[in-house]
Amino acid sequence: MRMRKALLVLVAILAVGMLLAVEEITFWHTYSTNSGEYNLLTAKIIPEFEKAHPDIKVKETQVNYNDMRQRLIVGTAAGVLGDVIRMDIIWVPQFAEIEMLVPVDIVFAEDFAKVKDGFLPGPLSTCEWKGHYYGLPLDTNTQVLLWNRKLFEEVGLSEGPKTMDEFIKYAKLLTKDKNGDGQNDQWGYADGGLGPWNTIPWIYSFGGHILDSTNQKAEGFVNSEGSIRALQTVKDLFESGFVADTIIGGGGIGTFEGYAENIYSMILAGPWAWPIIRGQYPDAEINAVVFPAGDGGSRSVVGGENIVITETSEHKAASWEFVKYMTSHEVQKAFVEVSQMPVLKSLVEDQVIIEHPYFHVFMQQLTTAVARSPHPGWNQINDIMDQAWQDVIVADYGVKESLDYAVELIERVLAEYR
Amino acid sequence: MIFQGCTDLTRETRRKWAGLLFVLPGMLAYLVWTIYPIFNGFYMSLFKWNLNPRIPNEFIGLSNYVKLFQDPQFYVALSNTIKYAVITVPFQLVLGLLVAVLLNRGKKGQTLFRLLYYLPVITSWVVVSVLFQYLFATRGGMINFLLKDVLHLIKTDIKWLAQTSTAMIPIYTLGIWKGIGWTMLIFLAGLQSIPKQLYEAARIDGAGGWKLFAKITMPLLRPTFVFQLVMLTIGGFNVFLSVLIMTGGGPRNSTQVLNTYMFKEAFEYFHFGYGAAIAVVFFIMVFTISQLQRRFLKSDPY
Amino acid sequence: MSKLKRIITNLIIYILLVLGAVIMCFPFYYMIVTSLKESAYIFTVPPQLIPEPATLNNYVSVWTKADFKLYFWNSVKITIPAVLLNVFLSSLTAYGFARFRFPAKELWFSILIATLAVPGLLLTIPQFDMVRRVKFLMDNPFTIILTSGIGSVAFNAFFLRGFFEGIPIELEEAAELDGCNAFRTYWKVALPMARPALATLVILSFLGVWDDYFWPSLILRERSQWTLPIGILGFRAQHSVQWHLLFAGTMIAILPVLVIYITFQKYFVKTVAEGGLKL
Repeated sequence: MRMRKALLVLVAILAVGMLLAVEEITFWHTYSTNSGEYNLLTAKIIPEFEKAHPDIKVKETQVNYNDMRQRLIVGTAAGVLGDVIRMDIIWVPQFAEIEMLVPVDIVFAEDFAKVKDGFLPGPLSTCEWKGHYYGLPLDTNTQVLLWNRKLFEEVGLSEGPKTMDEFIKYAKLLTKDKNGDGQNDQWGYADGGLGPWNTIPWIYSFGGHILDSTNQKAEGFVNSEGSIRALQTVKDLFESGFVADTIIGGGGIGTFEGYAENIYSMILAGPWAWPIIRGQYPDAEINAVVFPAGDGGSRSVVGGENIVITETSEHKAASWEFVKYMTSHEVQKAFVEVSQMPVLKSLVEDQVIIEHPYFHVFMQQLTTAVARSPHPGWNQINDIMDQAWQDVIVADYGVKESLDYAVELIERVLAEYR
Repeated sequence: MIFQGCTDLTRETRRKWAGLLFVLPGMLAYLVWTIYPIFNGFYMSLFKWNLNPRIPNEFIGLSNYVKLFQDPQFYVALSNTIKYAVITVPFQLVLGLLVAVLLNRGKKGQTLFRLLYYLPVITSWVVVSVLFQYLFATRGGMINFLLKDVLHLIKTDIKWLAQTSTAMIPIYTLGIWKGIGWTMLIFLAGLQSIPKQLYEAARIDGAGGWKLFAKITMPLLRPTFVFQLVMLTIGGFNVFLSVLIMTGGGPRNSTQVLNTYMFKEAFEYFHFGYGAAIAVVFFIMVFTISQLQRRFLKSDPY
Repeated sequence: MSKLKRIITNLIIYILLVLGAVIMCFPFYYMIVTSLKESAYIFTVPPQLIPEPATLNNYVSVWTKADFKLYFWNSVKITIPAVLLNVFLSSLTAYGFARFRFPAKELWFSILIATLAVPGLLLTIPQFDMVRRVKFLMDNPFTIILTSGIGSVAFNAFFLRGFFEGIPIELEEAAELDGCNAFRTYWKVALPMARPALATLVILSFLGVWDDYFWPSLILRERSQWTLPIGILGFRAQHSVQWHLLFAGTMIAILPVLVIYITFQKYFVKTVAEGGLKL
C-alpha cells in the first residue's frame, strides 16, 4: 500500500516536473495577420521548431507595426517584454545602449563565432554597437530603381540608367507637360521624402558619407565632397522640375500609384512594391535596375529587421535556440517564398533566389548596400539630415552651409553617447 | 430657538459628511490613477531618466528646465501651440453656438442636421488626419481640385503641407471642423435647460429676436460657455495626432507643437527626463490659463 | 411684409445649414465611397466621387475574414459597463461638489480640473507600470472597463457640476423634507432632472471609450481580446494601407456610436419645462 502511494506521488512529481520543464518563450513580431509570412510562421515554422525542441514552446504575439515601438518603450519601463523580438534594425543600437538586449557575441560566444560569417555584411553591421553584437539579422531589404518601360520607350530609351549621368539625361527627357497647362504632369523621378532612407543611395553613390566607418565622426563625412555633390544634384534636378513634388512632402500621388499609372518614370522602391502594385494593378509591368552608379559606385540603403533577445527574458538559452533556428539556412529559404529577403550569404546564388521574379536585383544591390549608421542617436541624426536636405531643397539654403551646420548638430549628438 | 439651532448644526455636519462621501469614490480613484502618475512625471523631470528601470537614474536637478528655456525648438513648439488654440477655439465656439441656436428652433429636419454636424466628432483622429492629408494634397487633392479646376480661384496648386507658410492651415481646418459638432452638442444641452417661460415673459414685455438672445440666452449660457472655453483651450493645447500624422512636425519643424515635440524627445530620442520637463511646463501653463479663464469669467446666471 | 421677411430669413438659414452640413459631411462621404470601392480605384486622379464599380465585398471580408465580428462584441462588452460606471461615478462626484459644503471643497475641485491640463502621453508609462504589477489586470477587458470608467471623471464632473447647480434646488429641498436622505434625493430627484446633461454625457462617454485605441492596445495583447479601434488600425501595415478595408471597418465601428447619439439626443427635448414643477 505504502509503496503504491509513494510511487503515485513520485509519478505526480515527475509529471509536474516535466510540465514545468517545458519553457515557453514569447516572440513579438509585426507580421500582419492574413499575410503570407504570418501564415508560414504559425503553420510551419513554429510547429517544426517545437517538434525539434520538445521542451520549448513558442508563443507568437502579433503587434501592429505602427505600435511596436511604443509597445517596446512602455514594456521596457515596466519590465514586461517578449523574450524574442523581431526588431527594426535602426532601433537595435538604441535599445542596446540602455542595456535591454542580450549581447549574443558574449553570452553565446561559441555559437555566435560559428554563424557570424554566414551573414551578409550590411545587415550584420546593424546589430553592432560599441564592439558587441546584440542580435542576429533576420530579414533584410533595400531599395532599387524602378523604371517605367512604356514611358521610356516613348522617348526612345530601352533600358534603365546604369550611371548617374545617364539618369540625369533620362530624367530630363522623361519630364513633360502633356496637357499644356503650364505644369508638368509626367516626371522623370519621384520619391516620398528627403530623409536618409531616401537619400542614402544618392549620398553614397556619389562617394559621400554620413558617419565614418566606426560611427563616431561626422566632420569630413556628412559634409564631404561627395555628400555635397549629391545634395547639389538632387536640388538641381528638383529646380529644373524633373522631380515630382512628392519629394518635399505635401501628399499627392504616391510613388507606386504614379509609377503604375505612367506618371512617374523612375522611382525608388523596396521588394514590397511588387505585391503592393500588383494588388492594385494586377497587370502592371515592373522593371528594376540597381541604383545608377556615381563616383561611389551603386550604393543603396539597407532596411530590414533583426531578431533580438531581451535582457528581461528568463529563458535566454531557449530563446537563443529559436533565434538560431530562424536564421538557419532552411528557415531563411522558406521565408523567401513569402517575400522575406534572406540575410545569409549562402542564399545569394541559390536557385530559389535566381528563379525569384525580382529578388535577384535586390540581392545584387545588397552586396554593396549601406546601413543607416547603427548608433543609439540615429533618430536624432536622421532628423538632422532630413532637415539639412529640406533646408536646401525647400528653403534654398546653401548646400555647404546646410551640411556644415548638420555636422555641428550631429557632433553634439555623438558626444552624448561617448 | 436653541433647539432649532441644534438641529441645523447637526444637519450641517450631516451634509458635510454626505458631501465627502459623494466625492470620495471618484476622487480616490482619480488620485491613484491620474495624480500619482503626474507626480511621477514631476519626479522624472529632475533626472537624466533611463528607460531601463534597472539602470540607476542620474539626478540633475533643474538642468532639464534650464536646457528647455534655452531651446529654440521649444519656443517654436510653444508659439505654434498657442497659435493653434487662439485660432481654433473661437471658431469652434462661435460656429458651434450658431449652429446650436439655429438647430434649436424646433424646425423640420433638425434631427438629421444635428446628426450630420455631429459626424466629424465621432470619427477617429487617426482616420481624419489621413483623410485631410489627402484632401490637402498638392496634386490630386480635393481642395486644390475645387479651388483650381472647379471654382477657378487659384492658378497653380497650393503646396499646402509642403511649405512652412501654409502647413498649419490644414491642421487648423481639421481642428475646427472636428470640433464644431462637439460644441454644438453641448450648447444644445445648455440651451435646452433655459426655461421657456423666461422667453415668453420677455416677449410679452415686447422684446424681439436679438434682445432675447443678448439678455436671456447669452447670460444663461455663461456657465456652458466658460466650460467650453476652458475645455477647448485645454484640448487645443493638447493637439497631437493631427500634427503627428499630417506633417510629423514638418516641414522643417514649422508645425511642431508641444505634444509632438515632447513625443519626439521622449519616445524617439529617449530623452525621457527632458520630455517630462516639457510636460511639466506644459501643465503649469495650461493650468494657469484655465484657472484664469474660470476666474475672470465666473458664472453669475441669475 | 413681415411674413415674407420671415420666409426669406428661414430660407437663408436653411441654405447656410445645408452648406455647413455638406462641409461637415464631405470627408465622411469620401470615406463611405472609398469603402465601397475595389482597391484599384482608390487613388485615381481626379478622385472618383461615385464608386464604379461599387461593391460590398469590403464589408463582408472585414466582418468575416478580418475578425471584426469578434472585435465588435469585445468593444460592446467593454464600452457599455464602462459608460455606466463612468456616468454613475461622475454624477456622484459632480453632485457632491454642486450641492454640499465640505472642507477644502474648491481646492479639491481645482486639483481635479488641474489634472485635465496634463498631456496624457507621459502618464501612460507610470499607469502601465501600475497595471502590469497585478497579473489579473493584464490582458483583461475588466481593466479597460475600470480605467475608462475612472479616466474621464474629472472632465465629466466638471461638466455635470454646472448642470446640477443650474437646477432649481426647491425640488431637492422638498424631497429632503419628505424624509429622503442625500443619496435618495440624488437618485430620485436630481438625476432625472439632469437628463439632458446625462444624455450628453452618455454620448460623449460612449464615444470616448468606444474609440479608445492606445491604452487598450497595450493591455489587451491577445488578438481574441482586441477591440474595434485596434482591429481597424491593423489595416495600416508597414509599407501600405488598405484604405478600402480600413474605411469599411471604420464605418462598421461608427454605427453604434450613431445609434447611441440618435437615441440619447431625444432627451434634449425639454424636461425642465414650464417652471420645472411638473413631474
